[in-house]
Amino acid sequence: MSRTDTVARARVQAWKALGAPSGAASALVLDDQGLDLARAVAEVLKPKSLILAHEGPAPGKAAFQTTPQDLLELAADRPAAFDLVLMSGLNQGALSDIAARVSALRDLLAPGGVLGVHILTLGAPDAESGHEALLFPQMVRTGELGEELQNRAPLPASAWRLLIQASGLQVLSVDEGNQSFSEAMLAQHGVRLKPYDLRELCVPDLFLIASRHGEKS
Amino acid sequence: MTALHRARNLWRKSAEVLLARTSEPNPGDRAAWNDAVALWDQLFNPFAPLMDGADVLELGCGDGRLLGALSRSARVRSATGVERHAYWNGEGGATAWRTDICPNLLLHAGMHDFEVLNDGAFDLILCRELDGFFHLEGLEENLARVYALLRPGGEMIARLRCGDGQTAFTGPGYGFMTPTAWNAMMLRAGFEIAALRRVQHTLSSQAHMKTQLPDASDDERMTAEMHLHLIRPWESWELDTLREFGDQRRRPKKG
Repeated sequence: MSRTDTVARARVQAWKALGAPSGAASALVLDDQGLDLARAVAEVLKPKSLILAHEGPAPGKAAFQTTPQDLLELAADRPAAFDLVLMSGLNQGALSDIAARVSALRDLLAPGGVLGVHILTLGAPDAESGHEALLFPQMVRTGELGEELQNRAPLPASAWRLLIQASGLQVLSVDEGNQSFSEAMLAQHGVRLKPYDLRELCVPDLFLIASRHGEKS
Repeated sequence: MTALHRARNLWRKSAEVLLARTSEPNPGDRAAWNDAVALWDQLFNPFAPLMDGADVLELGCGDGRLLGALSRSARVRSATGVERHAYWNGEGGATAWRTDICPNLLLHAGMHDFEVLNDGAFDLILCRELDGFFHLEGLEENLARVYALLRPGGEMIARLRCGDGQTAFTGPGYGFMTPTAWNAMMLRAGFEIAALRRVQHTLSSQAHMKTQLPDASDDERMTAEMHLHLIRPWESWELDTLREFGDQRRRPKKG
């Protein structure tokens, strides 16, 4: 099993532990890990029908189909069509784009349907620069810390939670990641970290399960 | 002297500064001027911004009376306001008033005028309700624009409301902004945070916020709005330019 397979499987197991249902009648996966995650969803959650938003075709004998449509196109074409939608990579883009994507995710869900998301928060360290984005936000603005960080929405865990709820979804369960900051870092950079709530910074990512109001049909 | 007397005297003093020579007979108009003074006293004045000779911009200036009063105080050099509607002309049922009685006051209706203001033209920007003035769409670009409008060392004082997870991206704080999220947005736009004041949710809202954010800190979930005093710092390239300019002046002239 490759590393990306392992990561994808762990992600699906996390959603399952939070209450993502097994055997959903129709499921949709939107994810930057694409094929790996769809395979893991098919194996772990065993939906009766599974679609992956992906440009290319599904591999032979895959237990899912693909569609070239993106999230916004799918929401317009297939409202309330899915009992389970799983997505990561939600944190990239402008706040208004993110709000539009969360609204689209809500629209895709049938009444009583379940959404599972994995989100990197404001406090998530970058693979190359660590926590420099928190210490030197102006370098994020100018792009000196890379495009990924420049496009990452600076929302802490609580804001993400409110954003999901503001879209009309009900948050059912959350698994927050945990990190700590060393005494040395707090002593050296305490002034730079002061504008942030330290408890928020200690949550680098979160798995979240939410549902659309209404009874299952 | 009791605290009440002190407060009343302070109000009179503020009114003298802000309402100098206003004597309109219309009671609605008088009440509107008093509201402007109260807003100044409650939101902006506690941060003691530098006013003397300043070019002041207010984003979302309402009926423009606060800027009118500032321009008549003779402390500021100019007062410019931008609002989505011309409330000073009576739009939206507001009490109209004669803006031409205020020297150096310029009021603009419509967002186009915000977009064409000159960069680096202001020393102080006031914003009584930033999330009401700017829509979520384009928020990042608009904050960058506000930053660019200030001169190096310039100040901004803004009220930012926090979300409660109930309104879909249009209400206070667009429904989801928390204190940390707002601070992160402002820092990323380039500002430094000089001071911060919090206003807490009402008791009934606090119970709601505890259910919305059960794991958050009290500061994060109980803050209904923040008043931020922001500084537009000198950029390193601006300091380099200044140094170069200074070096040139100090260099002995030939011949």
